[in-house]
Amino acid sequence: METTEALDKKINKKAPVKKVQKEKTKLGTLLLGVPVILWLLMIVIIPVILMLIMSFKIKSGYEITNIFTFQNYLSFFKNSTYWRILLKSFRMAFIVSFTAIIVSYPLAFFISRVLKKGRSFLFMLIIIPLWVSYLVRIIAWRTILGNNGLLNNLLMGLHITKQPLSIFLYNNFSVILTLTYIAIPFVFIPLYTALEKIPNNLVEAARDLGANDFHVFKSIILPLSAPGFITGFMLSFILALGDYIIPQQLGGKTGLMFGNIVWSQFGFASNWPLGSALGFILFTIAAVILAITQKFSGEEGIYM
Amino acid sequence: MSDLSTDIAIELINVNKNFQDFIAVNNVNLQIRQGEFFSMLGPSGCGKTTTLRMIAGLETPSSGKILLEGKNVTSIPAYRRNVNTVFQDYAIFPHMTLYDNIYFPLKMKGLSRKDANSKILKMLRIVSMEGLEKRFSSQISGGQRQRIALARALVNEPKALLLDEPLGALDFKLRVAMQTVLKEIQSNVGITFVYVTHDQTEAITMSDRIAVMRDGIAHQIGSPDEIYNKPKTAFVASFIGEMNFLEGKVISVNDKEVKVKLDEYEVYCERNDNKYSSGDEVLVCVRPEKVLTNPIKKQINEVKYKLVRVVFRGDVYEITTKLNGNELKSVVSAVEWGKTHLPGEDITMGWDITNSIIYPIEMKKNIISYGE
Ligand SMILES: Nc1ncnc2c1ncn2[C@@H]1O[C@H](COP(=O)(O)OP(=O)(O)OP(=O)(O)O)[C@@H](O)[C@H]1O
Ligand SMILES: [Mg+2]
Repeated sequence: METTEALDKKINKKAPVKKVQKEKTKLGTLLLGVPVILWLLMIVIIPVILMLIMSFKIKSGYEITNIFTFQNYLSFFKNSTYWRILLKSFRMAFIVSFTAIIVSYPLAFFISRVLKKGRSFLFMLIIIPLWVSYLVRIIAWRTILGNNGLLNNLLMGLHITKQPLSIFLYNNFSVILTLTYIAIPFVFIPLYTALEKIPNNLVEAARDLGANDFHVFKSIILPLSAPGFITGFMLSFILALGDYIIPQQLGGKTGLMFGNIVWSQFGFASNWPLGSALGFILFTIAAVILAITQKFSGEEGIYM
Repeated sequence: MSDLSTDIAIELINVNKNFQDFIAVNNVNLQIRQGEFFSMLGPSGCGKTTTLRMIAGLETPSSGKILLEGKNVTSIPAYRRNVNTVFQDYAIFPHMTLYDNIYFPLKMKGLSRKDANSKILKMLRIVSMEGLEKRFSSQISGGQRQRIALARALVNEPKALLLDEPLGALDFKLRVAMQTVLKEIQSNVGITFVYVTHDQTEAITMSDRIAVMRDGIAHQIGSPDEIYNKPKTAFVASFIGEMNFLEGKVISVNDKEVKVKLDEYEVYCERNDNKYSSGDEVLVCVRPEKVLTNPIKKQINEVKYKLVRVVFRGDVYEITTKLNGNELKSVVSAVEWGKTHLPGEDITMGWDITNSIIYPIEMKKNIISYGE
């Protein structure tokens, strides 16, 4: 038999050994992280730094001069069209995200919490558009909304209108509609995930404690799906804020967004330094939004 | 009789529950009295939770009736039933403080925060969780979560509290401590407790009455004493405590006792509700702690069996003896088992007729045996 002293010694000997092992594994995970960091550096950080450097140069004539200047940023603040369009893009992105959530939430709720069968099938149905090319889906909306499109044909076929209406296409409405359509799967997925994760016994406990369906929804389901809300809103907002293809294809003259302005600096305006500055402003805004939402939805392990 | 019926808090009449073609609860009849600590005990999958959920209103019976204080509530939804549940994993709302968790049922009743405050504080005191009410469920231990779940379920002063294995997730020491807490709270608030467990010790030590269930059937409903000492079926006898099952043949029957041939010996059993006639094969049962080894005083039932093994269990010795196919165990204190016997030696085993229970041989298939 061992004396307690001997046992104590044994335990004491063991303790530091454990610590060393822990430090070792920490180092191991750090080493494992190196490729990831390199990868991030290559695909995210270096391009952003290059863009940042470019944004402090200036274009004179056909040349890009290598002098350090805030000229590009100043011209953003001085030229009201720039930030007016930026504000408008904000508004549109907000409307898009809001609508996408309003449309997706009931769907996600129904599929994740009401339906007993066929959940994954319906889930797939909503996700499938993601497999179809972005451009194809945009063009599809053009054929739906256009003068000779599905919507006008339908209205005329039902004798609601006599002539094709041109109010559907090449304006803010068509841009918002299409952006919303594009955003829906991105909003739906986090909402669905959040809703599906809510343990059923919380719902039953609420019901047991006197909550009817309305109160169960208001006090349990809605607050517990908040992380899905935030993630979905953020994804859709950033998606809509930076998009330039949809406004270009469906926006006409009035439906322009900030992305188009950035893009045009790299295109026919061919002013890369200004484009970089505008792009960096957009990037900073998106990063700030991300950081804020991360803070709010960062409460992991909520279902302890 | 009207007096008696108001005394009954919960009544189940011919309640059945099928899931598709699977029968989870099979024609259960229960009467739970006001203020009673009533337990449902049985092996996993026997339908305890399902029965409890039907009382709570979280599940609808396939047929039968459920009465709360004499009122038929079978089709009344959970949120309008005046019974509350403590769930096995507590189901504390993770997005609310503990205070708001306890406020929740009061809020559903339309009480303002201000009016609810004193009730909430009182409940926190009862479960000894004062000062922690600002925390969230992720910031407290399992035992503390259990207390909050209890406070939340009790704050509305329900007619009955339903508890589904509330201590199952706790370690042994905490479980024993919480048993006392639960018992104390129950006697303080005087509310009917319906308690689901598969831990027989827990059920026996805590309950006023126990329903022992298996495969959706309530085998026996009675006090812990009745369940332990007068088990109605071989299943109940085997599920609660330890039990010797010996096979024999009926020699004769009179209105008080049954005489059975056990190997070459004759033993007596008390008669019970089952019918016996001479020549029937039967099971003779006696609990190991009721069996005396080499008794000094002559016992009514005595057999000489061969010693197979002796197991030291700390406080007691477990003596196993055997003859032909029958195995007979006895549990004796270390003081009594002073003498040294070798395996193969004959040991006289004796027990009293009051501890001798008899079942028809058909019940043999219902015996639950552990680790064999
Ligand atoms: N929703 C359901 N659908 C189908 N079968 C079910 C359902 N709920 C329970 N059952 C079945 O009914 C039987 C009884 O289940 P129940 O949960 O009441 O058992 P239990 O006695 O509480 O067991 P445990 O001690 O393991 O909790 C089990 O065989 C279970 O598989
Ligand atoms: Mg259960």
